Amino acid sequence: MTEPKRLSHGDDLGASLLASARGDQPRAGSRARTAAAIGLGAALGTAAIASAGAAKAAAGASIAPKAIGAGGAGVKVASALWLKLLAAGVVTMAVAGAVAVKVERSSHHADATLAERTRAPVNAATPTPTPVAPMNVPPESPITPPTPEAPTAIATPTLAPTASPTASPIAEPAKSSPRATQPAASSPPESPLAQELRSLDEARSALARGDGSGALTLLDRHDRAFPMGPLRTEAKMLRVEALLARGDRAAAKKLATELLARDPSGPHARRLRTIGDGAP
Amino acid sequence: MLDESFDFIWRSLRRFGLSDDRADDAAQQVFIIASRKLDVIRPEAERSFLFGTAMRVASDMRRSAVARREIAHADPAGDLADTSISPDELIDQRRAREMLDGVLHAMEEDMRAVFVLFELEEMPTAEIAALLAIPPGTVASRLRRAREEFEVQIARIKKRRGGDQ
Repeated sequence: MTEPKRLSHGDDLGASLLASARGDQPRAGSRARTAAAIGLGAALGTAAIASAGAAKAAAGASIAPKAIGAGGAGVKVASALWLKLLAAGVVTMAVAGAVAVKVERSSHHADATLAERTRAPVNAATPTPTPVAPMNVPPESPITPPTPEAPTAIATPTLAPTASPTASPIAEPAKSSPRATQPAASSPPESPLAQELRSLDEARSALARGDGSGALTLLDRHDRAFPMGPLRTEAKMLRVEALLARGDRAAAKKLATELLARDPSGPHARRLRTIGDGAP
Repeated sequence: MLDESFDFIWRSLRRFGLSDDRADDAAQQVFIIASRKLDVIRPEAERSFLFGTAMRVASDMRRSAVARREIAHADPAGDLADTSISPDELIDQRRAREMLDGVLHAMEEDMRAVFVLFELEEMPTAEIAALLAIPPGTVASRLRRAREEFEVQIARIKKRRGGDQ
């Protein structure tokens, strides 16, 4: 098949409109905020938060404490992909966190400033995270090559600086910030996505304990609360696993088949096919 | 993953009809979802997964934005028509971008994905086929239909704006 000529290479109105999209690009700080949010995801999925201070600070604004120990059925942090992601994301946050103790939080100005200061380390640190370590990271948050435990230790206390209004699940900084001792009332409200994550993690925890029925009850509640949530596919997948855990193979198989029909090439397709075929 | 794909995903979200702010939020969602599913995403399917997730997140966000009446282009090209600028004049960049939003909005999602990847990302059709996990022939037919729709919308804009008579 020969490649068609691109319309944007013309000189009419259509080409002008298409050319207008050439400037589409995320603003400064956008990627850093996402990196911080992913760090939060890591905190949710893994087993422990190293710093008690961080956990305490997180209690006010974040979903992290309830998610401790939810790692069982959650994110498996062993893959090379995960390490790659953390190299980009968590190191960013470690640096950002170190900067943050000196930066006034929460204002757009601070956010933008931080984004600027964070940008260089993001790119510089991508190939290998270790060179960043000597900079100015608090001793409580050692940067080590990204082992499964390391990301959590780094991520949690350092999430706040890149928080945007839409990233409210992110924790307040734990240390060296006078405001961190203020009550939780000053924390931003939990975002819908954070609530959804927390709800799902409760079900995941139940499943990890082998409590299929408990997980199903929590998933029922989850579905009522977040019928159109962005993680609803994950909720359905958890339901399949919970049904299996409860020993309800027929229901699990039926749901797996339905899900597979809806999205035959989705990320869970292989697992669903296995279940749909009647294997465990 | 974040470094390699963030800009691409952000641009895609923007081109799926989200504002800059919403594209930020949506990109965050896409990568959070991906980070939680790393154990099931095959490395070679990473970009496909991200793009597919982006399409779904954008679609959800558009729906909720329409429900809140936040989308300016629910009527594609409609409110763009009463401008006094002639189509032969150089179009203001921002205005043009808004018009493009309207035109893309008129396309079905599957068509739009192929169109955006081919015309704006300038991705080869074979790569699009791999990314979307569809046969090359399907890419070609979707692109053809998307272009037809694009031309219809462009003609509509021209007509409404009183040019090219």
